[in-house]
Order: sequence, then C-alpha cells, then structure tokens
Amino acid sequence: MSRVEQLTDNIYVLSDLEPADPARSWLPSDTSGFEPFNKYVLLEDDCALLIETGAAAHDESIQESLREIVKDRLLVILPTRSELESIGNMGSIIDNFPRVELITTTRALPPLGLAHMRPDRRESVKARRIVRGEKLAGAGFPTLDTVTPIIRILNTIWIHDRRSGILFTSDTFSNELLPDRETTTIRRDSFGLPDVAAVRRSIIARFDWVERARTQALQRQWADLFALIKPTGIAPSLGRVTMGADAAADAIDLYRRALFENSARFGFSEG
Amino acid sequence: MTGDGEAPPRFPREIAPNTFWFSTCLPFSVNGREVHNHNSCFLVIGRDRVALVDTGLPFSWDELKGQLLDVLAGRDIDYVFATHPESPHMGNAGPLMDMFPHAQLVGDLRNYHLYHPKLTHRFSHKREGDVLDLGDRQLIMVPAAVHDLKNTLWGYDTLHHVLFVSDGYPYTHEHEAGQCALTSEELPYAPAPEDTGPVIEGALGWTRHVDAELVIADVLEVLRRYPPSIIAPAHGGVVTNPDQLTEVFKGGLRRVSGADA
Repeated sequence: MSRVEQLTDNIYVLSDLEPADPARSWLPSDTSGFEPFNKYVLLEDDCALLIETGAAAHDESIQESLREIVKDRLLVILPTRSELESIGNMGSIIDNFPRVELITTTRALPPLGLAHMRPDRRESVKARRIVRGEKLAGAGFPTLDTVTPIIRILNTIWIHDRRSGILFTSDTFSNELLPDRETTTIRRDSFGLPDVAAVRRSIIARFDWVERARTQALQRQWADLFALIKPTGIAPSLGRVTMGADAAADAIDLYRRALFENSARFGFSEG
Repeated sequence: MTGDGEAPPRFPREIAPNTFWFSTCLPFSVNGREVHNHNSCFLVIGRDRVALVDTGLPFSWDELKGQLLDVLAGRDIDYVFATHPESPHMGNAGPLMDMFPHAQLVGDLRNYHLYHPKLTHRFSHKREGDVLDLGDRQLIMVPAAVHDLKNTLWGYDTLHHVLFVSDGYPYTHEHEAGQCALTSEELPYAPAPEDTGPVIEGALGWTRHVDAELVIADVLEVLRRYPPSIIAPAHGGVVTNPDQLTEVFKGGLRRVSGADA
C-alpha cells in the first residue's frame, strides 16, 4: 500500500517514498532523506479524481490503495504532465479499473496514446481533452479549475480546488524531502522549512533553465496568480505537502524568494 | 533522396546508408490551420551492433514494430537509446526491451529505475562524450543544447555525421498528402521560424524566459564540435541543409524569447 493521508474530508494523498539517491535521480548532490512521490484522490459521491498515476515502480501499491479509497466510483484520471511520474501507471490503471475515464491536456496525440494498454481499453475508455484554464465541472468536479503554471518544463497544468483551497502544483513546490520514513508527508506549519538557498539548488537541479532566466515576466505572473488565489494547501507531485493558509503563504514566499530573489548571498544573479 | 515523378516517400526511410527514419505524424490546429508534427525515431545499423535512437509513441507501437522488423531483417537491436524520459522518446522502451532481450537501455538514466524497475540490470548509464561502438561507426553521446528535461542527451553518428537532436530543430509541416516523409529540402516550401513555434512554445516553453542568444551559442558550440551533414530531430522533418535550418531554428528561438517581457 502507498502511504495514505487525508488532507480534507474528501481529499487524500497517496505517497510512495524513495530514498534520496542523487546519483540516480534529479536531486542535488547534498540531498538526503526520502522523497515522496504523490498521487491525489478527490472523492465525489459518484466519481473520484486521481491526479497523477505515479511511477511504474509504485504500480502495485497505488492500485491497492486506490481500490480501497475509490471503491465502486467512476475513476477519472488526470495527469498534470507527460512525465513518467504522472503517466507511469496510466495504462495499468486503465486496464485494471472497470469504470475509468481520462482527462488530458495533450493537443495532437490521441488522448490515450501516451501509454500502453489493452487494445479494447484504448478503443472503449472515454477520454476528454481540456485546455489550461478550463473548469472541470463538466467532468464531474464542480469545484476544480485548471491553472496555467508559472514555472514548468513540459506542458503542465496546475489544479485549484475552490472548495478546499488546495492548489495542486505538479512538479513545482516539490523540493522538500522527508528526513525519515516515519515523518508525515503533510506539513501543517512552517517550522523547519528548508532555507532559500537549498530550495533554489533543488529547483535548478531539475528546472535548469531557471538559472539563466529573465524573471521579470515570471515575477509578474507569480504575483498576479497569488493575488487571485490564496491557497490553504499546496499539493505537489513530489515532496512534502503543505496544509494550512499560513504555512502555504510561507511556502509561496519561500519559493518566490528562491526563484526570483536577486542576491549574491545565494550565488545567483538575474540572467 | 527522391526524384521528380516518383511516388512520395513513406516511412521508414533511409536518410543515410544504414540509417533509417521512422515517424508518426500527428495533425493539430494552429490558429485554425491544420499542420502536422513528427514523432520520430531512428535506427542506426552498424557492422557489429544496432542502436535505436528514441522509441516512438506507445499508441503507434504495432506499426513501428512491423517496420522495425522489416528493416532489421533478422538482426537485433543492441542499444535502445532514449534521449530523455518522456513518452515520445522512451514510451516504447518496455516492449522493445522485451522484443530484444539482449538489448541495453542507454542514456542519462536518472530516475529510470522508477519507470522500468524490472529492467535495471539492463541499464547502461551514459554521459556526454560516452560512445556506443557499433563496429564501423560510433554513436557519441552529445550534450543536448536545447532540451526540456535535464537528463536529455543528443547523439552523433561518426560515419555519416548525422546529429540526432531529440527536441531540437522542431518544425511543423503542412497537412498535405505525401509531405510527412519529406526532408527539409524536399518540402515544396522552405520551413520558416514560425513553423518551429508550436513545439518551441509548448515543449520548450522555458525559451520565452531565457535570452535566445545564450541558447543559440550552446547550439552553435555543439555544431562546431559535432559538425552534421544531416540533422535528425524527433519533432521535425529530417534536415539535409543544416546551415539553412539552423538559421530557421535560431529565428524560432529569437521569436519566442522575451515574448512575455
């Protein structure tokens, strides 16, 4: 089983922990601890939304956890991007869950074309294309809006739940690991947040373009988004989840500084 | 590669001796105009060993499998070189490794143990400068001057000077019958910087936030170290006029860079 923790009455995070291994991961060389690979399940009366399908290495634990949570609801899959943490188990979940649908942001690809699955499932499973900014009411999730990410590598969406205030941020806000396997994936206060320099090193280990970026436009977009949305939770695909409005505001400020603050103290400058 | 009056070429296509181009073209709309974009992979056949550069998309596996087996004519693939871990580039790695049980999965394989946990004993992690020896030709692992995911590698064939550039040099082509397997010089029009937009703005969205001249300098450095006769992108037609298409690619990068400023 994945580790299952409850964020709100109807939202769960499924975490599979991987020991930090900078030699064979994206992590900076000085990283230690455990990296949570997160999937989220949002339950409605008749359907359940799965944000991310997880990496293939976690397939069995994810499916076992999903069966317990989803029960006989329609399962709707929504990967936030086409990276293998997001779509790694798309095929096996589609093959194994009898009532399943897909929401995808792919433009040119056949919606079910990113993964291997049984031919009969490729033919029969319903798939819906969405664009960034679209609301998901039509898919059975009336409180969810998609959001254009400020920082991304691949084509990516973020998702905002107006009911809970949680912002699902894909591979951004994904840079805090757990010190050990026993620590909860969910952070509910700001005590012990990593420092700005460590977060920046971790961001650049993955988003290497940030090191050379002109950030004026990004800073404007960041300010605009977080003037509009005041998350009460930040839920990334990797790393710790932050819950609580104050902790989320602190995390947003931490990442703003790590991304944009121009300070020789951190050894970086505006590109 | 084609002559007047011949039927339009089809995939797979031999772009240099023992170097084959496979592709699935996908139509989509850009400002109301339907265009096509490639999702390509390339088979590099050496005297002693065979490498496949990228793997194509999962949904087109059945078609690709048949085409590969025809071209291989009984030989095996020894190296499956996934330029980076994204579906168009490594989506068929699993079935390929099943079909060729002695093949190694090569590339910058960070995190691949999570994507193919049962294949880790067949991983061969590569870095820039590492070489796949195919016998009479070598495939050098080249820094990816333009990439989305950081663990991307390009490849360079030492015999025919083919540079495999993954997400680099992308361009769409018109939705006209018979154009999909045409090279950059065979198209009835010259590709323009605007044709690079759909891929650059989507898959390489970061380019709008980075000075294009920095990126172009990286591209030119790769071209200096690994001078190509042919450029083989995953998301554009094969380039047989590298100098001209480099100008197009540069124009595309400059067009996007600073668009949000």
